[in-house]
Amino acid sequence: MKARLPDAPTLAHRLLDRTDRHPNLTAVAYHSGDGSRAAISYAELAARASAMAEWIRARTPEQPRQQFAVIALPNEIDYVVAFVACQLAGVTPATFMAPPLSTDRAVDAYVTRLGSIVRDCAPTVIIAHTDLAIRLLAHPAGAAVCQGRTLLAPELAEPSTDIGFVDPTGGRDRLALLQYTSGSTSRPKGVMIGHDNLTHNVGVIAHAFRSVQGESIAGWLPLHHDMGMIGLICHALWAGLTAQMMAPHVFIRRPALWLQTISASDAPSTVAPNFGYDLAVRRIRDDELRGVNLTCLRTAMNGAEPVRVATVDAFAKRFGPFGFNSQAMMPVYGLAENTVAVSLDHRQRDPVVVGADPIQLRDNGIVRAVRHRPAVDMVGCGTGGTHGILTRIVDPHTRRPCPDGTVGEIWVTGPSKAHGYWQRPTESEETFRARLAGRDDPRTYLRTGDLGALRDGRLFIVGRIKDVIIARGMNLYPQDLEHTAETSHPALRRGGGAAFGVLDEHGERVVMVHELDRFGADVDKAQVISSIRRAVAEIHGVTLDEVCLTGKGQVPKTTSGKVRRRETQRRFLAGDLTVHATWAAAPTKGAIR
Amino acid sequence: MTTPSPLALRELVDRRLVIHLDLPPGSPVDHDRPFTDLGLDSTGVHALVGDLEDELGVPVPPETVFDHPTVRDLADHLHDILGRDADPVSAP
Repeated sequence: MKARLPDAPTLAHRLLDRTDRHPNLTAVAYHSGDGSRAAISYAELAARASAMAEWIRARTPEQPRQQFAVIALPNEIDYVVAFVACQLAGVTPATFMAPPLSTDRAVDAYVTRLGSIVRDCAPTVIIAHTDLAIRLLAHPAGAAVCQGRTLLAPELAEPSTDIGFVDPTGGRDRLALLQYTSGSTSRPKGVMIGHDNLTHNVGVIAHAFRSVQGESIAGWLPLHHDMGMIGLICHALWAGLTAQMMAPHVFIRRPALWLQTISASDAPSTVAPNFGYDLAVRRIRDDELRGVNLTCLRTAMNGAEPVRVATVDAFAKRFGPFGFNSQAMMPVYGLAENTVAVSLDHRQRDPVVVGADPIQLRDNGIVRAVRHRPAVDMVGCGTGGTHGILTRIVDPHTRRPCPDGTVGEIWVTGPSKAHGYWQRPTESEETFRARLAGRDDPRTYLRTGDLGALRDGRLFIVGRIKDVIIARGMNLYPQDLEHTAETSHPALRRGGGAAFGVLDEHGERVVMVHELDRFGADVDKAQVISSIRRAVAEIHGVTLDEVCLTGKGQVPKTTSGKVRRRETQRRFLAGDLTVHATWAAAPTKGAIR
Repeated sequence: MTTPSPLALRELVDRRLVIHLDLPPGSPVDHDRPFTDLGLDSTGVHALVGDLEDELGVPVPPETVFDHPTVRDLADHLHDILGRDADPVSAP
């Protein structure tokens, strides 16, 4: 196991070196929905970022304490310029966003979220376009949020010919990035990602992708998301690639643009969450694929949310005729607390799918492959130990390592493990500095809160620890139940299910809330409910105690697309869900209400 | 170009909406029910306004769907903005 990959102490060092070596290479190309393209070379990026860095420095007095700048920009080239400017200024960016919608209600919610981040990290600078700055200052709560901070508008900065750089490694151990995770809105959690973490993790990613200077990488993930900023942008700048980017809403309007861009730029790499691959399969028409050739794709990273076997198969089948090589699909596992990537594949292969015995999984927490059906299909998400990132499966109660193939909590250590949560010492200690039982391992581990199993060195993800339902003595993993439910009837929305337990006097009741894709008069809801119950009973040997069918958008998700089961449970108990049909097992009989 | 009638616009919105709700073509949609009640999520909103921009050649920001939340309201609003563009006398 090779340990350190980085050959530069910070991303900024590496970028300036690249700017000297290939100043005219395009660093970022931005594709907008109308087919137009804006681009910025490495030299232009460094020049514009230097000008902004000067502004930021002028407003950030040199102090021993950590200085932050919140980036509140739309997903365009300016966002990248601002991010690099912070790196050059020795100020840590807290990556946020511009309001997704300009309706009053949406802006109110946005200001609340911005306010909680500003209170948490107390930035000296907020980087926002002029129109947003004006709106914020005119907003009753927004003005208070901006009080005492400097608002900087990147469009007003003239490119600088003088490349200035404050080496953050010269002074105190500054952070490269404060990555807010989707915790509660009132108390956001900022993951402290050091320069050591960032350089290591992008090195690991670039190695797995076998990225070569001058190549393109395409993607549309939001830049306030770790996989967008690090997996796409930082990876590109580190390896000397051209990032072919688009805004998420542009992809949603025209999913074909993603594949057209890959083809047109001959991109060997792309990164996207599972839902993007799914949307591409469902929405791209043949006539939009004229001239599209995907043979260039070497790596299509699939991460940031649970990877579905059905999606991986469907994508390969749909786009195989357009040159997509099924071996390019790379399911991965990661989280912001480990910068972004934990386990990837370092060589091209077809995704490894295991049909696991559902009874073994349920009763003993063992992932054992079976040839017969029913089985729970699981896809391998990379190999556990790469470049000093050590992944272990640990019993969360005894803190002892689990044997191969046994489900436990995923613990991670290595140079990518972040420094903790900003100003949360207790949670940081629990989450980032866990130790195995016994005294023979001096390392401290990150407790991911995710359940998984290592099988022949390959990581399989089972679900979140806090989501496990213990009913009638069985351990039920909501992700498995949801996966079974969503494929049980065509009217159900993929990724639209949430399974959770509700305690009553008899124990834990197993509840499934599922969104419908279609709910006209032609859909027999009683039949849909019965299909779900039957499939879950058949595969997992458990009967659901309550099933609730809702419209789209009723099952809440995190910004990275993970189902928020506890929030769904809260809404379910509070009666806040818009329900189309529900079925509950009464002590004696069940009936459609 | 003559401005399409409100009825024609309603049919256009209806046709595209059915696609983004993943309903079979021709499925009946209530023109007076809010889009969100019909099951249109944020992905669907962006996809719908993208289609309307392509068809009509005018910008349709996603907020439009929240400010004019039913098929009927949205079609009437589109009729207004198209009429405004087509009539140079009323331009400021």
